[in-house]
Amino acid sequence: MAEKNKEKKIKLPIRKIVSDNIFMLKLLHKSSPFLVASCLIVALLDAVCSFISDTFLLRFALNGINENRSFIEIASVIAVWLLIRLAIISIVNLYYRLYYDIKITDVKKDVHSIVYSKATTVDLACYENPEYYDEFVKAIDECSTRSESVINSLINIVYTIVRFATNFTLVVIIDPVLLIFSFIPLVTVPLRTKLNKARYRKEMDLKEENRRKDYSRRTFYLADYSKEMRLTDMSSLMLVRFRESGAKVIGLLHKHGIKIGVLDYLITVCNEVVTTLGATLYAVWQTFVTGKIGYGDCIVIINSIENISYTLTYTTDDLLLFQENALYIENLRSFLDYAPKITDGDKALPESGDIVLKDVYFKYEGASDYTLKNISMRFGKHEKVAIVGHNGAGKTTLVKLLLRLYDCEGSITYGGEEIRDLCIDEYRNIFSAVMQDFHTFALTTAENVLLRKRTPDDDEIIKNALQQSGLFEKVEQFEKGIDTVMTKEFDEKGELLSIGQQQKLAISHVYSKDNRFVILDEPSSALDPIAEYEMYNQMNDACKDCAMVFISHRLSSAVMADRIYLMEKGEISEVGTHEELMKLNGRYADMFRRQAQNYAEVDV
Amino acid sequence: MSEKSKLSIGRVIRNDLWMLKKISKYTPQYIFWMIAEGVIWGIHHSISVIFTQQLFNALGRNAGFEPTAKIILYFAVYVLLFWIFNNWYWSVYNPKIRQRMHIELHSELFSHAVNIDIAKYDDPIFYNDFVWSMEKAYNHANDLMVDVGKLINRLVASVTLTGILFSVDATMAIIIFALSIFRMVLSVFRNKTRLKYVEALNPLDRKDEYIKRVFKLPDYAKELRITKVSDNLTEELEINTIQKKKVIKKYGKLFALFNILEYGLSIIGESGLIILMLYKVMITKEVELGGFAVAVNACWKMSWLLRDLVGRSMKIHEHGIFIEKMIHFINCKPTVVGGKEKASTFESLEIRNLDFSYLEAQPKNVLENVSLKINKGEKIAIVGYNGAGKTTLTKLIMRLYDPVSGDILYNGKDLKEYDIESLRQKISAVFQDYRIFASSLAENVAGGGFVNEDRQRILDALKKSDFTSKLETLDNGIDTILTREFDKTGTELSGGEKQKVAIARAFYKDADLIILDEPSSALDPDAEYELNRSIAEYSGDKTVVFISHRLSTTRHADRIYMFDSGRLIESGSHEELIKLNGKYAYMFNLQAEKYR
Repeated sequence: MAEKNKEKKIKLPIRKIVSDNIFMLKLLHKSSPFLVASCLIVALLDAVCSFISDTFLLRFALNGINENRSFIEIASVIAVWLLIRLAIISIVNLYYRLYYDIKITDVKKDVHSIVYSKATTVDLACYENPEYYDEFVKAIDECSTRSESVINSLINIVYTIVRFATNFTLVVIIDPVLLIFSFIPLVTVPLRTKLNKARYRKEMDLKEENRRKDYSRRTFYLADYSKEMRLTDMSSLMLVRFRESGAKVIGLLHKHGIKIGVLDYLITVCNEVVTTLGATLYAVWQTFVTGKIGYGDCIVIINSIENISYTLTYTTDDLLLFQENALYIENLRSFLDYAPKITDGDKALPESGDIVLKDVYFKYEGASDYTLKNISMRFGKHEKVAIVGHNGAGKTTLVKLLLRLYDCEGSITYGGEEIRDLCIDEYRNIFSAVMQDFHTFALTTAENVLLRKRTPDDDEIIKNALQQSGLFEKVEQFEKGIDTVMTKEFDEKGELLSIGQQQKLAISHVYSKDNRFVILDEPSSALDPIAEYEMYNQMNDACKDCAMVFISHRLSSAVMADRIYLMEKGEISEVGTHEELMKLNGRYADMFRRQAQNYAEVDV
Repeated sequence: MSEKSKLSIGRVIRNDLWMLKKISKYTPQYIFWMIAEGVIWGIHHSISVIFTQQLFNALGRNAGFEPTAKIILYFAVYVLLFWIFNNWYWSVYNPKIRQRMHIELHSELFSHAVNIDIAKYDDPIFYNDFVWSMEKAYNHANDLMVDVGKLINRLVASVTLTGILFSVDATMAIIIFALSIFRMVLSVFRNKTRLKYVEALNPLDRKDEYIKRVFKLPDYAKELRITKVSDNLTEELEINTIQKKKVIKKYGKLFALFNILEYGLSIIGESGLIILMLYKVMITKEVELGGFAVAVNACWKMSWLLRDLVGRSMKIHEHGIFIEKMIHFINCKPTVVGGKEKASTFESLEIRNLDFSYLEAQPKNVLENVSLKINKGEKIAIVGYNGAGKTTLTKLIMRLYDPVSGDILYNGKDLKEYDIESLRQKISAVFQDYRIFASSLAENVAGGGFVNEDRQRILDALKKSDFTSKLETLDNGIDTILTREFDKTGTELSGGEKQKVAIARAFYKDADLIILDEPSSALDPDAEYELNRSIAEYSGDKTVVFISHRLSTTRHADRIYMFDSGRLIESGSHEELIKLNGKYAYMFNLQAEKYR
């Protein structure tokens, strides 16, 4: 039952199919105005040319022999057509290689640009919604291939229609009865649907076991597993699992193979024997027994019937391609139509100010419990604020709210204005944030520091930033200095940084900006204690004139903060300076002492 | 790529033969049927040409309905039989035999994989070949079979077809042959150009893929929103597209030229052939109508066959280049091999003047001149910062690697004299990067071979590793499937829980020496401390080695070994080391400072 539902789901009404394909064609037309039209003309030219060469000319020659026309006459017609054909072939090839290929590259880029710029505006919450994220991934993965595929299907269908129409007309002129044969392939349509379903079912049935096999295989070669595979008995278990699944796959292949083989056989026989040979037999009968047609026509007809039956058999596939494209385009459209819930406000950004949270509640989409409850906090414009707590307390979520990556219940204001009422880009620009899961981009060192487009004046800024984060010496060793491309992603000469160095690079970004707020989410996780200590000193100096929010589960780093918020299970449980909280003698003091305990006797 | 294509032709062919030999060992029937299928199809191509010839001859001779109908009927019967064979082979037999080959090939790869030195994982060239063998070797093996089958098919077809052509008319046969050869040569050039074209586009495509990935993956989502880095990326996309267009234009001209040349000359040849045949049919009457039909029909068939012949040979060449990787992998002999002696109960472990580096080529030693001793029942701590060589030491003790120089003595005898299996039975290590397998909890603790009698031991091990409270929440107890890899209702464990399962493995093994490599950084220092204490308690008189970069969590060890950049710099109890006031004391004070 569930399977049936799924099959139903992938069927679109014809009107949708048409409108989706047209949508894509319009997009193509906008990106490259003459592409679609010129493509159709060239396809038409190509199709007509091949009909004349393959069918019409053959008929002319054979009938010529039959009717005892002069050899010179026939030969000169063939020769003239030869010249025309040469011209057409040159045009078609030049068109595809020098015009089409280049234009389609532009088109793909344009389609990607549209999708990418949309991708950066959708709400972060969308990434957590598997259904939407699936749509998102599909849109990005498929948009460019589908844009080309839509054009190709169109070319195909033009070609097929011309081929069908011309051969059909020819057969009708010679002997309409033969059309019966050409429609025999239609009988196989239900068989073909069945065959497609059988193939689909086979894939579905095999999926599970193939996944199991793949998993076993991975455990044998991924470095992560290498130690366990040697030190424990897991390798024999994985091998047995692999072979078991393999045996099941063979069983399934046998079961499905017979069904598929029989269906495929029936279809082939229907086309090759019943249609083609049947029509041949009929034509031969007409030639010899009734004498209605000459042998020239007899041969041509056999050829044409084959053509018609072929086109009839495969137009269904061509049409299915339109439907398949439509499914992806439908997906693309719904992705592009998505209206973000986090939208720009129209108030001007305040010159400066504090960020104040009041009675904030937040839960992730689909989650049953609130991740953050009843949060009220203040981040003064020159304050250093620490947020501490165990993993899972909601610290990182809080940062996401500050950056307005999510909207929440309650109010968050900046300089007295609700942040919902501000322009998102302007508002986010007051921050520099180093996230827990920072990334090094496969761009130059300079761009990784700036994380924006670079201008000639930026060199000084970049150097200073790198100096402050302590990475400058390393970068100076690179052959191309700050122009060195990071990672070996697509440049063999790219430089790889260690995790600690990558973290420093991420921190450099903070120094490259004129900040109002600096947010550091576990900024020292990959740094050793000495480097961590230096980093905090440096950062404190740099943040004299701006606010700083840092997040850690190491309480030792919170001591110097102007204010500490202790978070537990999504709530703020204690607030104050280190001294105040120690005096309070609550959870913070308890945790601090526990962490400090192991060092305690050093004091003595 | 360019480097690999330097392999000599002979070497490439030997590689292909090597693979075919392997396949004939895995599934000899596959080889037989591959050849048979190729021959049958090859003949089939010619039979259809003969049918056309006979049919047209009958028409041209005005042979009458009955004899002509007979030709058609015979052919129909043949076609019915032919397709039975074809469908049986491709729909039923081939998928199964492939799968069988897949299983056998991988079984061999797997058993080889667990035997090779773990050091080889760090050799990028070897590891590359290793991964390739595991991921792609089968595809190339199977494609090789398909391509060789098709090659046989094309050879048989072109030879028989040439025979037919000569029987009709020698001039025609020569023209067709010449045309086909010409197209074949052109296609060699075109394929070469295409390879260059793909190579030129490759880095650009990779860049496109990277940009796509950044916009797609959730990991980057935050950065894309809070910085302007998306501008840099779209700029890269623009630049990349311009470069791509340059490449396409440059090669487009060549391709257009090739195509026009090829099609143009073929059309001229074909038209000339048709005129010639018309002449022979109409004026000299040397050739019958069937001969004319054969000319038209065979002309494109022949050139298609020969072109495909070239295509297949190139593919087979390519397979040969790739198969080299698998040969490299399979021929790699492990160097870490065990001795004969069975390891007895652990008494002591002594390390003497040990040097070690991961890559032979790399001069920098990961461990340098290390000497230390661990006695039965001791609780030892090995501390030092990242990169100090602590984990490496564990791997050496487990004999995952062998030292470059120096000795490791187990109960006074060189580690190499022991049977590896028996040695690893006595020692149990919980690594930083422990893995949970998509399998039942029991299997994760006990490995594959456990039987019902072992269940109690598994429960005990889980109890010792403090997993019991979690175990009580699992409906299926130790039969619960872990991870959601295959089972949507499977249980995903948290980081801490995973670690406990890994520790339970160590307890289950009942090893004499337990090595606990530092837990992941996700674990708070206090939790790590608690964990270390509880393990020390449960392990009783067993020998335990704790490894950590947090000096605070291992203070209670009987002896602490402090490592710095591969050297053992200090050793003693916590109190002794503090009194020594060396590096350990300095580090400890630094870490403790902020808590004062």
